Amino acid sequence: MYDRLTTKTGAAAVQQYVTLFDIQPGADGVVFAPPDGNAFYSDVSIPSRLRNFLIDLRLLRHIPVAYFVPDAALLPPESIRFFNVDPTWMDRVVDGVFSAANTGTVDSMFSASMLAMVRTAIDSDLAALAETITPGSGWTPAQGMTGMLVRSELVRRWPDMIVRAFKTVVDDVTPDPAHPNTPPQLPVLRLETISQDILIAIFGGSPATVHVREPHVGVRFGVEENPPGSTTWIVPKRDTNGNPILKPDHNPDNWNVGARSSQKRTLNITALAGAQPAPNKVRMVALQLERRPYVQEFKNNAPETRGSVPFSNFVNPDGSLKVVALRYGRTMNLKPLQARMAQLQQMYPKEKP
Amino acid sequence: MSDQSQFLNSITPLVDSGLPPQSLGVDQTLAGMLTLTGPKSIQIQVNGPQTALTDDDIAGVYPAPGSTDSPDDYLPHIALNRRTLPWERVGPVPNTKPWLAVLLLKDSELNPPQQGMPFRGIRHLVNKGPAVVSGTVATVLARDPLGHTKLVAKMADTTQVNLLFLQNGILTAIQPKQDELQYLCNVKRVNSGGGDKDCAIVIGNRLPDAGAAGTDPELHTAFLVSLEGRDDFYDSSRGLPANAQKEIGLVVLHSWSFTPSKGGDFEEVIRAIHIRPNGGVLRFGNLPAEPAPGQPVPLSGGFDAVLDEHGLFRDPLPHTQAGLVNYRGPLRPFPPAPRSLGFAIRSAPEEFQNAPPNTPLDYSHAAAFEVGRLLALASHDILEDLRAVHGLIKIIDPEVAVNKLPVALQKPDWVVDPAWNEEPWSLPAGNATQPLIKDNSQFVGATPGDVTGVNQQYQQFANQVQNSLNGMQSPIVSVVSQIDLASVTVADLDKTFGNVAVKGEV
Repeated sequence: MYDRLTTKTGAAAVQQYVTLFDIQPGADGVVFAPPDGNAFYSDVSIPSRLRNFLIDLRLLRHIPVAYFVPDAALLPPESIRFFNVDPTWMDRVVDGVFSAANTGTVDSMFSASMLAMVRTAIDSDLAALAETITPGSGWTPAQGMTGMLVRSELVRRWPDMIVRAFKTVVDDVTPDPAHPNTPPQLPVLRLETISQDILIAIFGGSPATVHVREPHVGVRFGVEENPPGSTTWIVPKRDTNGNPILKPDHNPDNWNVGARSSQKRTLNITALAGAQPAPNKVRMVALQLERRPYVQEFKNNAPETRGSVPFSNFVNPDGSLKVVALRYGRTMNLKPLQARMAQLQQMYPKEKP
Repeated sequence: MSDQSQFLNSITPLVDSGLPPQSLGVDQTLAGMLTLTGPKSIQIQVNGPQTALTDDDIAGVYPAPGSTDSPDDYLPHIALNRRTLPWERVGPVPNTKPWLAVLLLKDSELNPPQQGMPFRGIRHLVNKGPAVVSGTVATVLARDPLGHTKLVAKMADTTQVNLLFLQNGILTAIQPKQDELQYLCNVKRVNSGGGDKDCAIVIGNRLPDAGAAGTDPELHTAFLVSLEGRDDFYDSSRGLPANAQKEIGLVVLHSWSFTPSKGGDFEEVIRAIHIRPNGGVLRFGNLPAEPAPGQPVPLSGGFDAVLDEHGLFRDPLPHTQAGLVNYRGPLRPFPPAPRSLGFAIRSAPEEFQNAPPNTPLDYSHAAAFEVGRLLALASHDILEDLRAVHGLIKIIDPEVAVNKLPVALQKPDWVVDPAWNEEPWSLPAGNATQPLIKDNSQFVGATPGDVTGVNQQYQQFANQVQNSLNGMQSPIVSVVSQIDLASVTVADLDKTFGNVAVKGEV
């Protein structure tokens, strides 16, 4: 015969029940977390389509951009932003998905247990995905996720740009298929364009270095305008192995490529060939004209202040523009930025240049 | 190992394409034992593409057809799978190769605007228009008699070809010089670990022109043209002003169109991002501007910011909710708080209704919950799948049967081999069984049990009892008085047995 339930025994039962939960302060206030162990279920069965949908959600797919970039100022034109992902926010989205199937009275204990198993299952799937992308990375969702948003004409013009994340600070590394994980890389769990000029990359873990690489499009040939906007062209000098030739002061040395016709933009290839050693003039011309992919490095040991520099820093006291050096002795064309700056100053006179 | 590549000057075949069959003499004997009985020469002829290329002939072109993002300081080129193709025929200069060239033309050069009708906008290439036509070699005769004589020397008048007709004035302005043709063709060899792969490359000598700032770039078309035997390509008469409006007809093997970009290349674009007014490379939430004078740095790096360090908006977003409302998305400037172990199982708007006044209401996670719910409700498939979600009941482990045999004697196929299962001690031997253990005398159960020792032990116990009993003294028995029941009295009994009368009364 059971004892009758009284106020006293009821309170004791509740107290005993509550002790099963892990109670802690959280982002939502006091959090009652169900016990880890599940006495009844060993696993959860989720249809693969739903499972993929939940993984996608955890990687911010399907979620309107306005929910994770709620203000345009957070991602202005021509910008790159690095962020951390709040896992609790993403868990709430998944909780919301499952709430859509709850009808009538919800058994809180059952729902919590089910959601706990779902969370574990999706975590496991994400870890497996990371292992597939970057074997040996050892990443699990417990290590957190970070990412990068790019809003730029880069995305429109080079949507297939290559993004790699490294655990340590490393310089440009040529990928080695035989040792794809050297130096240690973090998995890039998602790399997609989400609009014509916005790209999102989500990393497993927190990288110390991120490389954004110009996509491989086979071989390309070209010249550099020097100065920018002119019709005088240069190419970096290279030796017979294709390595850059430096001047005695260790600055890159260049060939001046003459023009047959500046108006028609035809090059004087004969002059360039004449400067190359025989008998390999043909291949040397190709080496000089070859344009190689560029890799931009972002390192977490670089001062943040370098992330955005006022345009006034690039203007000399006499109003002329300073020279921003690029590879192989080339320089950046600052005139388009200067024009935009002038336009903005007309629109917003108080804006600091 | 990454791809290794190198450029080669050329790969020139020993026999040119299109030549009449060449005779190769064969004269072999082996010390009189073998004698060649067949013809002493074989005919060799090399046939390669002459008037058109198939898709299989082309490894790739740059810029990509239809692209709009190639910088205008990149030269157009075509890569050919047939690595000898540019050197298979004689070019415009006698006894010299190559015979292929890439000519780049702007749309306005292909379709010159008529008088009083300035060119406007971008037109796509008209492959049936006056500049590019499909027809026979005979088509050239009317527009370029000089060129026609050169073409018919290499192919029949009825040969179907795609033709580019270009004014001499434009041709002489853009054509590569005679000695430049050789430098514009090379071979790229790539070794990706599985052997060498060669492709021939033909580069244009002219850069695209994206135009001046504020104007739309023109459509450009690159033409791979045949210069086989076309010494008229460099004929001095074409450079005369009087002939500037006259045309040259060239056989086109392939063409592709693109629109160049006046933007910089990848390096220039990505490196310019950190220069204002561009948005910069910053922590999420920062602005590419310094805080107002005297104001603290909200986040980091010395920049002004939209968000605070927790990812909440410093100035709340516009909203219709009464009171203070906060929102933050999943992207945070700094590592977020540890992941909550809790779950949300329903919306709880009452927590906002009952909030103390002047408490900022954080709708962030509530919004996330609703987003998830609405995404699920928006998809019939997901709703169907949600109904199929279920837990898997834990399976109780069955009792484990204990095998009495020593582990060393168990066989791996114990369960699957009925013979072993039924007769574990024996091996099948024909219709009978053969004991597995050759000497089983040492095993318990192999012979009747030996209880001799137990009997001996019992005998020892019996002897001890007997000895003890023997050692005991004989009991002293008093004189027994005979009682005559007929005359005995209570007093007598009481004397003999003591107080028996009293006990008898009870």
